[in-house]
Amino acid sequence: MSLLGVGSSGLAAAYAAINATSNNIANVNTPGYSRQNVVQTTVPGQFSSGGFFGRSSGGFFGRGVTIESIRRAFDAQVNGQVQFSEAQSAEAATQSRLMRTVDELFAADDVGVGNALDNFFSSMTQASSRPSDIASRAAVISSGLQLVSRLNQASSQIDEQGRNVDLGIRATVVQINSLAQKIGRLNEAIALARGSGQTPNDLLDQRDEVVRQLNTQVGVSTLEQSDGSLNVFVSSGAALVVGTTPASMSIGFDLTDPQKQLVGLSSANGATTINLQLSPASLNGGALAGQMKFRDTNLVDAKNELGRLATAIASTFNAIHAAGTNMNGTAGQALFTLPAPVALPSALNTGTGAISVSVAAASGLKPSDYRIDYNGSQYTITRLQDGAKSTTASMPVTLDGIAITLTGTPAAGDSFQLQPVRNAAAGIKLAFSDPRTLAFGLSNASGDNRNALALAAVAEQATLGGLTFSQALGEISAKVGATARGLETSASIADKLLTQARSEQSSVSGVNLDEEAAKLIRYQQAYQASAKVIATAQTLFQTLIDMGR
Amino acid sequence: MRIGTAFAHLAKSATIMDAQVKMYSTQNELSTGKKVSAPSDDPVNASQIVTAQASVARQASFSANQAYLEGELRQLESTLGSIGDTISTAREMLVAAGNGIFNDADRRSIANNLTSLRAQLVSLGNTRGSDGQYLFAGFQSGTTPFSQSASGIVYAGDSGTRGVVVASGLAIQSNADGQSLFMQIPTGNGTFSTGVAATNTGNVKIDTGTVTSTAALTGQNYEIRFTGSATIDVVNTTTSTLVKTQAYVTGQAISFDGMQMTLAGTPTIGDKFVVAQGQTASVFDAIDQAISALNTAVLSDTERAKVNDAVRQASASIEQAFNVALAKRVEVGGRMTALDTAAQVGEGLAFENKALLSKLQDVDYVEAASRFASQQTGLQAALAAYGQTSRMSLFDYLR
Repeated sequence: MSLLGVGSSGLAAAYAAINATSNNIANVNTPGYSRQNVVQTTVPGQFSSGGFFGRSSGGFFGRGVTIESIRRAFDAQVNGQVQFSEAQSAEAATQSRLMRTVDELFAADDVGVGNALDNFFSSMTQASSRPSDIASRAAVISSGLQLVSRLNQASSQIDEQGRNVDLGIRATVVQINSLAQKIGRLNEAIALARGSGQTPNDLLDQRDEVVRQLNTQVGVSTLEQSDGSLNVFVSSGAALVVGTTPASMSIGFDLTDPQKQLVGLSSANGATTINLQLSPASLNGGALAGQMKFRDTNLVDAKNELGRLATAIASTFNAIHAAGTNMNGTAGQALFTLPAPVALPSALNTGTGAISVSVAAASGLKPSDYRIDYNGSQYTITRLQDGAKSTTASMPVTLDGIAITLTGTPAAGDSFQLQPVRNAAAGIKLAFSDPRTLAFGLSNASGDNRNALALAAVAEQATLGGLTFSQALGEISAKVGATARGLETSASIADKLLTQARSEQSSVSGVNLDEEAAKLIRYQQAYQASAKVIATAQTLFQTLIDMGR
Repeated sequence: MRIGTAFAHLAKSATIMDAQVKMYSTQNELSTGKKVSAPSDDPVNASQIVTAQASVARQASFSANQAYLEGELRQLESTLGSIGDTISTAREMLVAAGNGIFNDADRRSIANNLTSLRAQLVSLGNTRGSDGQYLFAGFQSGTTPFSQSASGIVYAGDSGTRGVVVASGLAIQSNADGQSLFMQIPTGNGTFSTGVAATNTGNVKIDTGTVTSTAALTGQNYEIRFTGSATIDVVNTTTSTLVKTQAYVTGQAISFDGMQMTLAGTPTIGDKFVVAQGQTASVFDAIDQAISALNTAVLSDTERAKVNDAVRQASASIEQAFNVALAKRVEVGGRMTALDTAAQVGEGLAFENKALLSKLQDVDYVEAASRFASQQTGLQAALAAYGQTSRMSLFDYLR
């Protein structure tokens, strides 16, 4: 082996290392990039029994250096930690961010429901002392209008938020589908590149980055195949990418609750298509999980809480008001009107059964939806807020302050969705606007304020589960506040864990410019030294050639 | 441990961002003056903030009611004062009318005065409050309570009591009912009344009498009958039983069943005197009775006795009416005291609730300002550190 060969192999190795270092420097800010190192090894020495110049003893003479591969600095365990943390953090951050609007809805400020409730009670108290004063009565009407409009607004803000989340879910699903397609294509490219026997570092980095982005949308687990392709699952058994084939996520509607938007996953298994419904509970993180959990629990809870309050306000005041006599000498009519409670049959029902719901005792109401399942012999009523179940063999039945009646005959397997209070805050209205129609007396005498006193006393009555309306609203605020705070805390913990995982990953895979600068110097010097070896070889040959002249 | 350059930059800028977010939130607290802007800022006290706000609003509405009630009660009290004065004037006139030296013309002049006092009393009874509602009409506050009818002054109100809520669970009555004020005055001395029968021909007069034993009172009606020129029978007309027979001596007291009265004068046999218990009459009827008696020309002793008796009875009723008005005024005074107490307690509660609310919601400026200053220092340090560390690079030394 010649000196020239050794020198040029060193030159090539140094050049390759400088190349890799430059590439590292160039990609210092590329997301998902793992720094690359040149793996160089010595070319095995060649035995030579005699020296080139005579009979000196033999040995293995080195033949220079060779580049074995370019390796990316990568730790699968650290990468897995980042992927997992991304999904957890995205879910927590999304749910927490969405919850903030609900939180602000219950702020105890001048435009809150609490303020409107206080004003209504105040105007009622003041009007009760001068029952014949039209101005005071008008103040009751206007504060009553304000109260219902605040409740309407709060509820419609929740609805608006629900629609926004539904749109957000659609966008997330589009994103997920596009990322799944990308992974499919990268799988193909990687499998192809692996044919060369070398690892396609940049493609792997790209795929890891796409999986990381996917994790921010929906938490996934992955399984690497022998050909280098990555199979991706959104939950156990629900494959999003198998080999080069991505499944497709889509939006549908719940057959048992047509207002509810569902996310489904359809994947091809040979010739058949498998359709899966994704429930928030089955997802392992990601923005999609945060969006669905917020919509299906936090939003529904907030709406039901407001609805229960509105229902109780209406039924309490209406009962008292009906006992009185108004300025026109006629019996008091309802003060507030409420939308009818909703009972929806599942679209899958085969029987003729129809359910109707009414409020029997406002004080016993729970801020929840219900589901009724009929198994052919008995009805199971599930309170969806906490999952509490009760069974009955016959209808009608009264439960949690609501009366449930059945007409027609349900078939086994039929189910119904009940929303006794969900729409009450959105639909509560003041029944009239004529101040004279307020029934302040028990007789039609203009100075009779007995019923007005009873109406004013509602402010201090324990009406909702042993609480006054103000206390009940306070309880709702506390619940919402605690939920929002809890989500904030989870989000901040998840974010810290993510930062930690990223920091570890950066420690393993990240490019450090100072390090690269040092490498640059090192390989530059190696390059210069190898060049010197070649120059020396040339001088040596020249000496030999000159000898022959 | 290696440091990735890109991540180090991200981490450092994240630190700066974090410090800025904290400063922004403190700045927000300082500029709004509130440390709690949404329930999640203080979930533990979120409920208390809502209820404290409700209490503050409630106290404010009570306070408005207190001011209203105070006006109503002041007017009620001063009107009751005027009513007392008017009745007192009428009473003094009737005392003067009992004077024996007054002639028919003098009496008619008194009758005229009484007529105008009666009109004044009606007008006082029809007093309206600040809101145009009648004070003495019970629930019928929109209807003129006292008006003239063929049978005298009639009351169109009822006995409804209108409560004004001035504190939690406390309603104080704001009106007074005209029924008990003017229309149901106990006659005579307040327990029983005495009177000369219209058929009497003698000149015996009877006084208003007194109660000697409350326990012995029967609540029944009696007649004192002259069965001889010096003998009288006391008959219980409710049970139709003879209570006693006794000798009649002019000016000597007669006692029976807890009552005592005095007859004086010369009787005719068959003359009767009525003693009735538990009777009530309207003050206007009493005045009307006096006016009619005073307008009657007196020709004989018998007539004089009857006229004087009518004046005496009216005078006794008016005395009772005065007592009723006085008692009402005292009662209204009691309500004002109760109102004062409620207002004071309410003020204390409102103050406490406001203080609580402020403690829960409002920024402690000293604490927030010092927090802001320390956050500012933190941010400055982070910025300086970033600036200095990012200037350090090996590349700077490669020349």
